[in-house]
Amino acid sequence: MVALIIMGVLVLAVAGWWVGTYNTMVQAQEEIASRFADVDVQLMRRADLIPNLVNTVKGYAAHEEMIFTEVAAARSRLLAATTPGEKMAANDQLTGVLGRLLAIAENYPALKANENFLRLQDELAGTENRIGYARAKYNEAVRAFNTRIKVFPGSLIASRAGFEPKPYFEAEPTAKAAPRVEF
Amino acid sequence: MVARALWPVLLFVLSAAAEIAVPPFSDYVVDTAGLLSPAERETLAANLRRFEESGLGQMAVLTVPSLEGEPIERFGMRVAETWKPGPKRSDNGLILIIARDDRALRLEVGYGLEGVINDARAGDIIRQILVPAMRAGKPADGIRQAVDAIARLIRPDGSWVEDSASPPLRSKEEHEEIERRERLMVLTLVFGVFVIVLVLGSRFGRPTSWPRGGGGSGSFGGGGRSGFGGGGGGRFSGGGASGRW
Repeated sequence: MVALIIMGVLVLAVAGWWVGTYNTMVQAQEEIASRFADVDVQLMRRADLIPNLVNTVKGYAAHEEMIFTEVAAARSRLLAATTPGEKMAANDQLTGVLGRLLAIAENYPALKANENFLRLQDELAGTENRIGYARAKYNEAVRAFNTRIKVFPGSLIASRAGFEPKPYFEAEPTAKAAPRVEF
Repeated sequence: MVARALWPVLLFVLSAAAEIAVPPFSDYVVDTAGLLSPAERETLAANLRRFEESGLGQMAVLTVPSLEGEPIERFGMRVAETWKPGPKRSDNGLILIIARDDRALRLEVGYGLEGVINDARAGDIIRQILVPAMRAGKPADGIRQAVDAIARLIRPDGSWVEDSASPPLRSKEEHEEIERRERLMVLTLVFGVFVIVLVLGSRFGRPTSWPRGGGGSGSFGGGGRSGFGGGGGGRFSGGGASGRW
C-alpha cells in the first residue's frame, strides 16, 4: 500500500515535470516567432523607405540608371522572400546595394545637403539599427530555445515531442565585409 | 555619410572590444563627462522633471567621457535597457547621450514616442540644434533647446512653457508632404504587424504571446516630488538618430 502511494506520487511528479518542461519549450518557441515578427516589421519598413530614397537621389543623379535598377531588384527580392533565412539573405544583399547607392550620392554635393535626403538617411539608419536590434533579440530567443531542448533531461522531452534546434540569423559574410566604412 | 548610414548594420555583427559600464540612473541628468556646470545640471534636471510631470514622458541625459570604440547606437540600447526611462504603459522615454571624446550624439527614442518623434525628426533635432550647440561649446543650451523642441513635437498646442528662446525646427511646411507619407507608412506598418500577428497566431494555433524584458522594477516615477524615482520600465526598439560634431 505504502509502495503504491509512493509510486503514485512519483508518477505524478514526473508527469508534472514533463508537462511543465514541455510548456516552457512551447513558450520559448513562440518567443522566437514573436521576435521574428519584430524583425519582419522592420524589414518591411526598410523596403517602404527605399522608393522615397531612390526618387530623391534620382532628382540629382538621374543618369545613374544601373544602381537604381539594382536597388529595385534587391528590394523586390526582399519583398518576395518568405522564409526567415531568405529574408535575411535578401536584406543583406539590399544592404550592399544601398551602400553603393549612398557612395554614389557622395559625388553630388547638392544632394548631400538636401534636407529630405538627410532625413531619409536618418530613417534608413534608424531602421537598420532596429533590424540589428531585433535580429539580436531573435538570436537570443533562439539561443534560449536551443539550450532548453538540448540540455539533459529536457532533451528527452524535446526529442520525443519533435522540437528541432532553430537556426540563428547570422549576417552574410559579404555583408560583414560591407562597403567602405570609415570609422 | 556612407559610414553613418551603414554602421548600424555592423553594430550587432561586430562584437565590441571593450564595453564601458552603464552609469546608474541616479537623476535626470547624469554628467559623467563633466560637460555641465553644477548650476546648469540643476536647471536641466529641474526642466526635465517638469517635462515628466507635465505628462510628456520621461527624458534623461547622459554624458560619457568616451565610448571606448563601441558604436553609440549599441551603447544607447544598453543604456535604454538598463535605465528603462518612461512610464511602462506608454513607453514614452527618451535618452540623449553625448560622448565627449568621440564627439558623438544619440537621441534614443522610446517605443511610445516613435510615432511623434520619428527618426527623421530625431535627426532634425540632432542636426539643427545639438550639433551646432556642441560645436559652439554650449552643451547646456543645446540640451535645453532640444528638450523644448521635443516637447513642442509631443504637445504642438503650445502648452509647454519653453525654457529656452529656441527657434522652431526649420521648414515645417516643406515637410508636410513627407509627413503625410509617414503617416501612411505608420498605418501600413500597424496593419502589417496586425497581419503578421494573425498569421503567426494561426500558425501556432493559439494567440501569440508577447513576453517582454521583465525588468521594470516598478519604481514610482511621478510619485515622489523631491526624490528621483528612476526609470519606469519604458521600452525601446532602437529608434532615434545619431550625429557627430
